[in-house]
Amino acid sequence: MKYYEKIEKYLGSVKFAVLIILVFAIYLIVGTFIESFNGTDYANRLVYKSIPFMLVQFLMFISIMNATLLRFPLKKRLYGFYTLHLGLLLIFAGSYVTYIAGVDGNVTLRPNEQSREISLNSDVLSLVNKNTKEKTTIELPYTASKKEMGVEIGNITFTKYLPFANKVVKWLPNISKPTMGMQQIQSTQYEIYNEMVAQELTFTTHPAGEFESTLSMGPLTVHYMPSEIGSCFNLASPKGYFAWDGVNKKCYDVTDSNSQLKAKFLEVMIQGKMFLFAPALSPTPVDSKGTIIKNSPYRIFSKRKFESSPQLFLFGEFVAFFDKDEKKWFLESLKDKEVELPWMGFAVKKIKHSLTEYPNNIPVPVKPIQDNSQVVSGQLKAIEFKYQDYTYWLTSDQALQVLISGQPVQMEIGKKSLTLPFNITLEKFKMDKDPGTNSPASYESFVSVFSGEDDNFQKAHIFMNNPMKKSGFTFYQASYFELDQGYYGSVLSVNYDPGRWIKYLGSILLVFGSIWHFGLKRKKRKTV
Amino acid sequence: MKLIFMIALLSQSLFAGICDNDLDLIPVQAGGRVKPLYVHAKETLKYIAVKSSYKELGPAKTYCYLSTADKKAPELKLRVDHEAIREKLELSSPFEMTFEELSESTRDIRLLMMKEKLNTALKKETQKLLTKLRVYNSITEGQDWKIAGLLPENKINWSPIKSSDTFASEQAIMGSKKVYDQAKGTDYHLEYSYIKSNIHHITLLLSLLSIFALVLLKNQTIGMAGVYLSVFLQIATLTVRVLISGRAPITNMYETVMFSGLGALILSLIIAYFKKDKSIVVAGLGYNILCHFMMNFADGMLNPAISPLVPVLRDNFWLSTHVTTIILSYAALAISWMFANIVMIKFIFKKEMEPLAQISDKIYSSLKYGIILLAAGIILGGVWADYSWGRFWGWDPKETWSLIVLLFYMAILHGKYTKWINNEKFIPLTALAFLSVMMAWFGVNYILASGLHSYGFSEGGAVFLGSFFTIQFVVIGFYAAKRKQLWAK
Repeated sequence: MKYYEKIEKYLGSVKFAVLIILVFAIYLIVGTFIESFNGTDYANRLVYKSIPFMLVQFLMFISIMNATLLRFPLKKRLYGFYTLHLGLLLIFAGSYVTYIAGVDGNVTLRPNEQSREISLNSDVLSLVNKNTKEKTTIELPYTASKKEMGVEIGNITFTKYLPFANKVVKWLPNISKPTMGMQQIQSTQYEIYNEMVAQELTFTTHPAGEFESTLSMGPLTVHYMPSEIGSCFNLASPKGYFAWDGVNKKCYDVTDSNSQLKAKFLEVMIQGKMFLFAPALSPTPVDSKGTIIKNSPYRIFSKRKFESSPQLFLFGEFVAFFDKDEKKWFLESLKDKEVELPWMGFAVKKIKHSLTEYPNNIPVPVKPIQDNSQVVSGQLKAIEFKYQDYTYWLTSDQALQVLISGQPVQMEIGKKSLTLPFNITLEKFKMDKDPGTNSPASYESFVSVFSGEDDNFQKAHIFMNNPMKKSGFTFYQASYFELDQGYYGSVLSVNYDPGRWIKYLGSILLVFGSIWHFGLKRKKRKTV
Repeated sequence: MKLIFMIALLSQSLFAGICDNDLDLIPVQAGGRVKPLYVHAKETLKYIAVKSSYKELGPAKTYCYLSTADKKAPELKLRVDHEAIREKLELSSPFEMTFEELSESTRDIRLLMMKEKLNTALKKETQKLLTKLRVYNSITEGQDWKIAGLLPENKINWSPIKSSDTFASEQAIMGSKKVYDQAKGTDYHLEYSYIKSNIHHITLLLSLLSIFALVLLKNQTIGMAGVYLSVFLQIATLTVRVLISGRAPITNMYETVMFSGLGALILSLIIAYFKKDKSIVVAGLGYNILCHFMMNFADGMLNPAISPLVPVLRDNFWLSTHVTTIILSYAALAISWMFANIVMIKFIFKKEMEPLAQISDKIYSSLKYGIILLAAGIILGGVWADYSWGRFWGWDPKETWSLIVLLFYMAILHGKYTKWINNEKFIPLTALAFLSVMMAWFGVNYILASGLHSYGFSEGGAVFLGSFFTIQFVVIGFYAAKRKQLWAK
């Protein structure tokens, strides 16, 4: 009993108050720096909404409560003290009610479309059965770093959750061996650079690699092709064309002796057979009626077409390009050297080339980085799952479809949502700008609300510092997005806060209590 | 043929004369507001160039010559502040260059900019140089100077003085003032008088003279008269600024510094009245002078221009209640900080002192105001945030730091009830606690908000904060050493 009283007395003592205030303050300082380094979401997960921080706040509450209780029975000179500390307790209590029972999210409105879904802040994994439209959601842990999941659904096991991840290229062994007739799998990583910029490019012909085979870097277009095509660029091609035989992996020059121009069509002899092409339209051969023969293994390439703009062809360990100044095609090896390109001082070099491994984007956990008020690294969320003996990743930038117990199921990482008891439609979005500038002076949403029960629409005008209240929810103008030139959508933040009035009451008590407390002291000293 | 030539010659000579008119009060539209040309020219030239390169002509004339591509336009120079850019452009002291030279080096500057992946100090500097060049080009192409033309229903149309290679006529330019004044009135003239009056230099001088009079003269009447006159002029200045901008005078760093300086002086007068002791006025005045120094001489960090607000701040009720309360609380805490420092410095240099209890009582009384105002200000901020964003508290760095300030002062006050903090420690601790105010006020904007990864600590705000912290620690160090020495005896 005495032991208990001792603890109670210590927790209500001024010394404990000083200690816990300092711990709280230092915690907050660390939090603001983490926020600046790693972004708001990370700081919330690691500090502000973490269990240890909640514990510190709880100890603050205990300290204030015990300090107040220890000063009972009521003494007249402490009325200010009681009021001010009761105010603090109410603010803590109100915040707790908000945390437990409050709703905080946002609703995205597109012009003239009805919405009733609020998207909340917590992350969920949603599984939608494509046949039955049945939806299952699994709430993801609110964590700052990697967390084991161990959730099993049918033949799928979700093993790990990464709240902050970046995709990193990892090389995996080619699973299926190249068989006869099938194309040899090749994968290569290059770096294209000049003195200003450097960019790594990764390509693969492996079907599971998620890399494009053609991409553009500013005005430059880069193509990745099977290495056999490389030698074709060495041909003289007096007519500007060469033909590719996909069956024998060979190419032929189009010359006067093996071809004939017939109106807009080009007739080419390949392997002793005549093929008709319309090179201006398609590299694939056409039949006599002019329709494309889709499954033909033969192609015709127009080198002329590639001469007008900067085009870079990469074939594993070779590179081909057209030099406008020298009016000549170059085919160079990248085996042990870098190759200078005729555009803006660019050069290309090979980093890795493999026939046995292929590159794949694997999410790895990272600490997010915030720069210039924007998160620039670690925005991706990822879940690792096991499916038919293999390990795969589901990432927040792409939905996946799998078969679970024979049913097609779409899996997606998203936000938890809540359905409103009414529809909101954005009728008009208005943005005023400061005269003569491009900076917004105000943004305003004109919405109509329809609850379905009665026939009357309620209209509202929501703008900064002018929210809309409806069935306990409050809607605030939060942000906007541009759909087309001049057409805007609007984002409203939605809030339901049952703790609001407790916090407000506490605030009033706190302010009046402190004035009372400090004011009274002055008088007391005067009388002494 | 001859006639055309004559007309061309005539218009040329007429045109050449345009900048010889009195241009100061011509209204221009710039940065979302209407200002007198003098103010716009002064702000713009100050942003892009070093003052010495256009000083003789004055801002309006220089701006006019540049805008009309006149031969009399001075060759503007700008200063390059970043070491890496100086090296790249091979600049030597005083690291100045003309805009022509800058224009020729854009490739090198872009190169430096693109190499920086994160938003480093170097990247920001390169972007700033390119922006300056863009502004300069816009001036010299006659696009920056926008003059008023009348539309139906007394509406005003703003158009640049040069369009499709022809300049507006002298008549149009000089007449634009009359057009605007008749349609919209002459309210904008006030800003011209405000800028021209150099009122901030006058109040600085007045506050300086008052502090000397208070400290050096036995009779305090002269000093106090100076203080009251300074307060009166500062209130008048603030009122003029409110009239120009049409909102509470606390929307950027410059205005908060100005407002806190005045607030501290008035608060110190109030405390002095209740305590019947004028020594606290010296602290208020000292802080007022520091604020004036920052306003007048730290223009790299504090921008005095009046510019439109971001949408969320456009609510005069909340702006004037929440921000005013917070800044007043900082002002009250600044008095306690100033007073603590005065006492510590006095103690370092001479031994005898007022009784410690009396000193801490004075510090405590200004601290009291500060804490009540701060608590009220934080709560008002919470209510405003709740009202306009739907959340009372969001752990945003600015609000979190204001709470940290409150917590530090709370720890000191509670500590004062225990034996941990006696009067001797109370003085340096109040000085130390003010560093949290500096962090909440300046640090959040100048250090936390600009991204910690990329901070070069070469920018104005960080240098200022760093020096402030260092000086404070040095003073406290000396004070502690001297205390120890006394104890030993």
